[in-house]
Amino acid sequence: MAMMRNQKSGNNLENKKHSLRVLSNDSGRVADDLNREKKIPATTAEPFNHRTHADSELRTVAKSMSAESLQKRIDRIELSPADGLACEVVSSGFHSIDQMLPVGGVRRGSLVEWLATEDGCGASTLVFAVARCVTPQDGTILVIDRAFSFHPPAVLPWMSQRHMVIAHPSNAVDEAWSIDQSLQCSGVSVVVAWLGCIHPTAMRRWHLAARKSGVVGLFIRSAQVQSEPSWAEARILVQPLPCQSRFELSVLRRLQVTLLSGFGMNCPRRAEVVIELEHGLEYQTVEIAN
Amino acid sequence: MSRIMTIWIPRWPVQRRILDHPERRNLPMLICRRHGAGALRVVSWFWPNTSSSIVDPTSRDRSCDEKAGRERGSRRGRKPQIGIFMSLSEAMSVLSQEYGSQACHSILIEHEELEADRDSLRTVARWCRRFAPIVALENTACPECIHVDVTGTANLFGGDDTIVRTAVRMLAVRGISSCAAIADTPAAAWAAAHHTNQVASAVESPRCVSTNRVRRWCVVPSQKQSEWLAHLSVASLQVGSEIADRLSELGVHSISQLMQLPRSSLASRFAKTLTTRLSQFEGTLFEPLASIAENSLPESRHCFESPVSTIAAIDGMLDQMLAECCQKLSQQGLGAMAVQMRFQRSKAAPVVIDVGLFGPSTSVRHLGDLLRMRMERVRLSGEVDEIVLEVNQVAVTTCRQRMLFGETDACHSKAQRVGMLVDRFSGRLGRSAVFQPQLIADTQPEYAWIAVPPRIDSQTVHQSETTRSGRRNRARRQPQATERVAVWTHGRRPIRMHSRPLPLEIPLQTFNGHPTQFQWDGKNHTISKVDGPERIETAWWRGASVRRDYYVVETETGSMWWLFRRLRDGRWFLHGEFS
Repeated sequence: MAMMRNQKSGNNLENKKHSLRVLSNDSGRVADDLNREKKIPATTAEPFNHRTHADSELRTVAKSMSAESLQKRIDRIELSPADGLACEVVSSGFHSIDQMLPVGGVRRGSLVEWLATEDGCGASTLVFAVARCVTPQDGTILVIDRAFSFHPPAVLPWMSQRHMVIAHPSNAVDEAWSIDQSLQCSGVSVVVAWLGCIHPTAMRRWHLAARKSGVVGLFIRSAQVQSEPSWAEARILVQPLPCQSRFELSVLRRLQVTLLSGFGMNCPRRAEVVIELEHGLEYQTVEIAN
Repeated sequence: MSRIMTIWIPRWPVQRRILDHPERRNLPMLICRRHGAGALRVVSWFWPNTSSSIVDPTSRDRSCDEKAGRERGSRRGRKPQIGIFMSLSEAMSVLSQEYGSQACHSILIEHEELEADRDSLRTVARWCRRFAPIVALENTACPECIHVDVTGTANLFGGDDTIVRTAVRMLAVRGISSCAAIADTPAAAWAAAHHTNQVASAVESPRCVSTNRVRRWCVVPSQKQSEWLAHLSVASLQVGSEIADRLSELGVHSISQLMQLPRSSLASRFAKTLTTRLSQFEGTLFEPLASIAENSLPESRHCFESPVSTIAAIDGMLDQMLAECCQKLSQQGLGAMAVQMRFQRSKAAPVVIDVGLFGPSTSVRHLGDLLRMRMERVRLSGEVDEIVLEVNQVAVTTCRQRMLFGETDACHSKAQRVGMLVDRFSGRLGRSAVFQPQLIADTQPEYAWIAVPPRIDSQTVHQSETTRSGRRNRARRQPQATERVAVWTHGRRPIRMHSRPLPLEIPLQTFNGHPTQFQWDGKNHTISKVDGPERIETAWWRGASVRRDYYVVETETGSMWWLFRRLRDGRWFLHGEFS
């Protein structure tokens, strides 16, 4: 019995050795097969150099891509609200302004400052044209007008189904309170106000309120406040451009906009905007082929 | 002796419609009643003018001198001579004769709505409870007067003169034009309120201050109504036109003449109404007032065991009282539109806080926030014995799923959130400081738009006192009213416009009539392009015409301005900037 057992174990050993021999003999073939599957050339000298070169290129490309994607992810995290709400970006209605802005449009829950170089420069016209595009149908635009000089018939024909509510605070304290309350109300789409000197604390409060509620704040200010700090996501300087003909005087408005400061940008960006005054939209030229 | 204050709101049906639809303030209006075999008769009318007073209170009285009314009308822009109960066709012919056929196209014709008028007047009467607890409406089919029993309460307001003046002025702030008078009896007060100008001028009381040459309040001293009001016409006793005409035929025109006649002969020749009214006027017969205290709107009261003098002590009871009222409203499917809170004081006039909402609400938190916002500005002098919280106006609310863990902002729709924001704005900034703009068909830029109460949710129906059964005609009429006010398609308009045109500092140097240069704010602006002129003239019903030639000018830097030249004298003005 023991002998039979030993014989069986011996046979098993031999079988195993045989199998190992088979594996060792076949290893090269198997290795070749595996290599063929991996599509790596059989010779070792050339693949080694090629792989190194390709790898280094790949590594370089991967590094740059990862750096860029990482940067984008960092930007997105820093721009997104603290409570993790998705930051929706909407078009301003003007292609040149969208290209100029850091996020490619107006982000909901942000403040944007529009600096007017002089009276009658068209900054308010541009702001209401942008507000019209940013506000959805049946949305509400809230206008805080402390000076009692806003003339609604100039922009009401643009608004179609959108609602416009005007508030007349009588002093600066009520004005700041009104803006604060408006930016906290998520039912409002856009808040438009003409502002003078603002305390940085007040603007920070508005910034936080807008981020939480998703309301867009469009503030029109004088260009003299360029040197003041601001919590606005973008600061745009608006300068008028002369019309090219007398006909344009009643139909179009040409403006030059300069993005003075925006998140993630290093140098000012400039663009020209043409507003079609009947509907408050961007004027687009159509080339007619001969 | 009792003291009754009567507040007369002339042409209340017209005023009620203008309060509900401010865009109609600049449109002429006729209110008609179907009479007999379908003929329409004018029961009230309105003619816009540019002055602050929209209604001439003395033109309702037939015995008033029509010549004086015509002269007054000519100064303000010539009001048409339309009599009450004149047929509609006759009224239209009067208009076309005086102002041309254009007048017939622009006038608004409305049907009489007695229930709506009465309900709205009851709301105003409830508001008048701030003066005294007993308030009643005039006992007629079309009431226009509110009787307030100010016996013993006038002293809290500083006397009869102060309370009557305060009532008229506070109603004026709310957009209601009224006249008020105080006398011993409701009949005497009614007569005095309808003739405040005559009573005040006849007596030359130094305390009756006149505004705009029309005295809107007067006080008849106690037990002297027979002397002070004797010169008024018989129609002032509310005896009816038939009796008044018969007395006039007999040569009896004034109350003093009537009082000299023996009562027995009057009773045998005329209806009992005449002697009854005369006795009530003199005070020999008691005239009861049907107080509006019994109503279906909820109210809550809290009496303090010992008087309190701080707002903090009152604040603690507010939520509980609001919850009590809101629960009753919720059970009926209603929401509060107007809430009044009164701090009753034993030794001084009550402190009253009114809160109005643009949409019905049963949210305790929202109503509490609005009341607290107003309470912050109240300085209590003296001690408060009792708090009364009343809901003065309600409307039907939309059905909404209740939340298990209380209300948050997320459970309100966008329109509701904006409505609550608007309520907060109106509570802090004032009701007139928050509005929606609406375009008006008017050539003059200053009148091209009006401010209307914000209505974010187009399906909200604003009703005065409730009836859940059936919508009122007003709801169906609303789209018709807005359709009638056509949007004026005009030229380009500036975004920033000065409320008054500003004269330019230096006369323009014109070439071919176009401006070439102007000076503004210390700077010289050279004009490179000009578009215009656009000639604008005012509407024919406003009296003195305004004729201007408007120009859109662009300077060398590209800035745009809106100038006009006044054709009357050639002066130039800056009206706006295309900012």
